[in-house]
Amino acid sequence: MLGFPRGLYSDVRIEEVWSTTAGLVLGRLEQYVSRHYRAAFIRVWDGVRWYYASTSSVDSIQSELDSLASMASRQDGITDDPVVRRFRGNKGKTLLFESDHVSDVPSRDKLDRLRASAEPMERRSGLTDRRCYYVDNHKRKTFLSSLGADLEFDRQTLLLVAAFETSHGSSRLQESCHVGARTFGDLPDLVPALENRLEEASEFVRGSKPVDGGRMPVILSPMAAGIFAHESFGHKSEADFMLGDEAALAEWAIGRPVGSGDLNIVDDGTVPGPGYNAFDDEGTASGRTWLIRDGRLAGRLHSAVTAAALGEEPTGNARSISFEYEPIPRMTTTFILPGRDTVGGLVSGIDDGLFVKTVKHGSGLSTFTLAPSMSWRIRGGRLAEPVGVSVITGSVMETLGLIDGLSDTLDLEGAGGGGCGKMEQYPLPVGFGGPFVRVGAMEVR
Amino acid sequence: MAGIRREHYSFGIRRTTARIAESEVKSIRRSDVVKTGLRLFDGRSIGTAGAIGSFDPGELERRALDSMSCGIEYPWEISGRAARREAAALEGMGHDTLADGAGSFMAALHAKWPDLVFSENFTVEDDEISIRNDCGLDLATSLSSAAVVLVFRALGSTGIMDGWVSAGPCRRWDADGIRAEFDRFLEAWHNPVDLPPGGRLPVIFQEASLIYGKLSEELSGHRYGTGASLFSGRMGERLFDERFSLSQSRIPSADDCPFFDAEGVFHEGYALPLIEAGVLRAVCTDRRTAARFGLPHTGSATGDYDAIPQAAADRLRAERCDRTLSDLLGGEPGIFVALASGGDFTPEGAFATPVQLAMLHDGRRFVGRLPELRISSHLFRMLGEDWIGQSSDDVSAYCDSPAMVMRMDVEGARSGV
Repeated sequence: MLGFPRGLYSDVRIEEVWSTTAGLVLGRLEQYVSRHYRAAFIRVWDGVRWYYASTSSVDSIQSELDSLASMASRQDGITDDPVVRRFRGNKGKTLLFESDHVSDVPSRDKLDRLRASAEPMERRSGLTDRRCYYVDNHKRKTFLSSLGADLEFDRQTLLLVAAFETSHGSSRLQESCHVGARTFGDLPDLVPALENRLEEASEFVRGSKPVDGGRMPVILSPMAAGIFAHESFGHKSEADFMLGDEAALAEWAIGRPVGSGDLNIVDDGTVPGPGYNAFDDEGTASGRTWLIRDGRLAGRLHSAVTAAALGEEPTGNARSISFEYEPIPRMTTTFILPGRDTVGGLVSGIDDGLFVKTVKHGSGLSTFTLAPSMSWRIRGGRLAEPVGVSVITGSVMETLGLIDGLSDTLDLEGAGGGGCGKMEQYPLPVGFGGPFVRVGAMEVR
Repeated sequence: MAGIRREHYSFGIRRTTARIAESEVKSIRRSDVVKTGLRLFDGRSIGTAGAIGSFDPGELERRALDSMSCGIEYPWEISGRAARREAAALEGMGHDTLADGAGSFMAALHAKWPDLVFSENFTVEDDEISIRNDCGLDLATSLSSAAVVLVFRALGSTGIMDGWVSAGPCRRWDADGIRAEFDRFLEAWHNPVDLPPGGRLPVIFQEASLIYGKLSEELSGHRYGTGASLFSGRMGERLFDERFSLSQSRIPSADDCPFFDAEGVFHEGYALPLIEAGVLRAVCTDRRTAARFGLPHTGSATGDYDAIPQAAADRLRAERCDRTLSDLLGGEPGIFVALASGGDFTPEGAFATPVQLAMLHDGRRFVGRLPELRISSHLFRMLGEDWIGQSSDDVSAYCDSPAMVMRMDVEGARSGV
């Protein structure tokens, strides 16, 4: 039983983690790491400043708590503090994976799955490099606070990733594909997706030429649209960046038009996948936050601190990458909602443009970027030749207003083997995706 | 157990961080974490297991034996019979003085630049990295440093960030000097200037992660061996300008890293030439990659505390020439890349990126802030015919920061493509 110091708000997050990473390189097993550890992050708030400690000794939590409290200034009215008033003191257990725990799956079964998944690459000639990884992670969190919060919740993800490189003449292509699930039994077969991706990559690399760049209409696949939504608008929705700036708050007033009228973007921590969390890392329940609704700014992603500063409510987006870091506003699963168009209809409406299928990475500052891997020109309303593209760029706000078509399908991608980075905290598992999205004009190079 | 060799690979990190938000110290975070990996070798295979914090040695060994049963081949001799320790100490800042030091630094910075909102952190860190085995290997590096990274936004800006300033990792903390250097940069940032005409201009990189990232891919022994590298089959050939040389460098005080790789291998002088006078001399290998492809073993293994080592072409460092940045520019204006996010090389080596923050530099000082722009070129042109040099002097007095200068295609972000 922890003794929380009086006159202060404090909480403790204990993380127990089980994980496995196994990797085949050129068909041989070269990596197998199995981890299990418990560690904790402790916070104390005195109304002015936070004091944090991370420790790998859960037996020392009380002494760490007392030590942090000795650095803080006790306040009689701490429970009336605007930040503290936003903590809910939630209680309960949301343990979804006790009976399907990845640590119960024998390592032999995981390795068999890995080897079977890599098969299509082993059978195929012409690949200059090939790798396949199995990654699982189960994280069980216990959250206790001086307000009486007493939570236990867990999350679990599994991933099979195949990555390969192929070339034809001077044309080269690095590609990958992945499947994910929350239990070993539900992990889809990677083989069909990998066979398709291998075939597509082979055709691409044989026909690809450098793009004759320019400003043109672009159709983004759900993967590309998801990265675009994440990078272009998701990060701008994390409320910590606008603290201390009244002018920025006025600029980002709720209700302000920020995109075309059909555009809706949400962040939803309850969606099964890498962005799922029953609660965030300060005990707030996850939920759906509308970021853009009918083209207008509808909300932002908060921790208790940012919510208090902006006079709003926490949204369950205070997340950290591990027990070594404090929670800060982060995305969970962020996606564009589908519209009413068919994919064929989107393509047929373009006389001269680009279709982006896969993306290596993206970024979003005043100018967003996407670095495509496989793209095709669109000519006369049909997909034409494959093209190599270095980067697609555009002004964030301008581009959101140029979205003029959304398919009626929704496909939510995970972040594959990577994740989202925000300054020192990388990688954080997130989900993203959307429909096929048509943008009237983007810079293609 | 008879015939089993044991090796411990450990990271100890003690870190105190003062987090800045709204230009003030808003939190103090401290962590003290030790991560220990155990590797077992039986002459055919390797097994690993790791622990965070205190651990039961018997349990760790049992888990490493379980891992060994996966059958990951490792038939090579491990390092032995070497004992060495290197240390780099910190002066002028400590864990206990960080909060006050950061507070007074930020108070002065905020007073000088009230139109900017600063965030991010000051850190003091003590690292201890060691590798020891029962063949007599006992290597350790202790590193202490202080650093500051501050991201800033102009009040009313619609962007997430408008720029950043940083110093460190420093071995000697000089708050007044660092703040004066930040002031000089921010004064120039407040002075908008036009992009010089010409289209092909000298471009200056201080932290050339984009370029080093591409070189890291192409200098991977694994990619070289599979034929996937742009350099495959070209060992001994001149690839770049003869004034361009590159090493894998593990000098603890300069590179802020241990002097040995993850397999306990090190070179006298702690640096390995990869490209000499433009000629490819080596690609980066660990024991496995060297054996698989018949390449020289370069001691380039990396890996987490509990992972099986793998080769990586990291810690790359271009050689400085004998000319200052001013000499290299020769009176031309330089385009200093302060913030370039989202660009990339194609697999064939073509390069393009937006530059969200570019500064005009005259070789001695920052002159002003340029409009957003785009730069493009090709790897072989950037380090070949368009290579100007890596300066003998530093852009910042508070971190190891020679200027990498090359001519590139430069155009304003608002101009047509």
